[in-house]
Amino acid sequence: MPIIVNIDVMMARRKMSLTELAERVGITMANLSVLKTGKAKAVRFSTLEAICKELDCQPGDVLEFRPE
Amino acid sequence: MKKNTLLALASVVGTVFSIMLIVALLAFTGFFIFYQIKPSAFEGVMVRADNQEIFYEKTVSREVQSTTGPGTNKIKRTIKVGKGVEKGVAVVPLEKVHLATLVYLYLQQIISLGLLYLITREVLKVINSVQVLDTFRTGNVQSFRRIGFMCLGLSLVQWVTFFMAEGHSTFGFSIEVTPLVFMLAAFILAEIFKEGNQLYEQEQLTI
Repeated sequence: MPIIVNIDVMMARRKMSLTELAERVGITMANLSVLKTGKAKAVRFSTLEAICKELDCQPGDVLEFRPE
Repeated sequence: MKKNTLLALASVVGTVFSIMLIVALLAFTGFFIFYQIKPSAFEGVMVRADNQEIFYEKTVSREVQSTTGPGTNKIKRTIKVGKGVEKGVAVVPLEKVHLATLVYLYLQQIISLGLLYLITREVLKVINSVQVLDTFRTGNVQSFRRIGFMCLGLSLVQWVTFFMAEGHSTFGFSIEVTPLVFMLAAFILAEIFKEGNQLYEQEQLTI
């Protein structure tokens, strides 16, 4: 899929662990892991909003379009 | 809660029905074999030539001591089991029916009962999956497809009418529509469940 999820990059920049982000965003570790590894088929705006809020970033920092 | 009660009831009814089908299948086979061994035991069993419905009719006469005077009176009594026959409908005693017809009717009934049993099993599988909230799964899609094909089979076995007996011979062809309607419904449900399964899988990967 040409949409790349860069959550791990943002988490490293903010020095935040997967457990901490999952807790703050309000989703399970398993779901955050699915999102991080790019296996997710869709992201809810509410989830994206919470991730951007907790990582203090823009949606474009988390998601990237890279043509195949 | 109400949904679960209804589903549980449907499950029980389905299980009882499937047991009844097995009993009917075994009884039918038993009667067929017994008839081959001792046809005289089936004296009085009649077959309608038009739709091959079976019923029992026997006239028994008995001599009884007269109450009014010396001598005996003859009492005739007819025992009937099964639906009556309208006037003008040809009726044949079972022993006059050709063996090929009996085999054909037996196989037709056995296949129909077997298919009905398998359909009931598939419906029970679907009900059980709904009970455990596992509704939109590929297993149910396959179950509905199987039900569809079995309904087609159920219709096919009833298309040809074949009846041969002494003085009567019928060979007909008619399309049985009811199972075909169920077949269509089953295939439509299979497509709906397939769509539901796709939505479910998509929902599972929506974060």
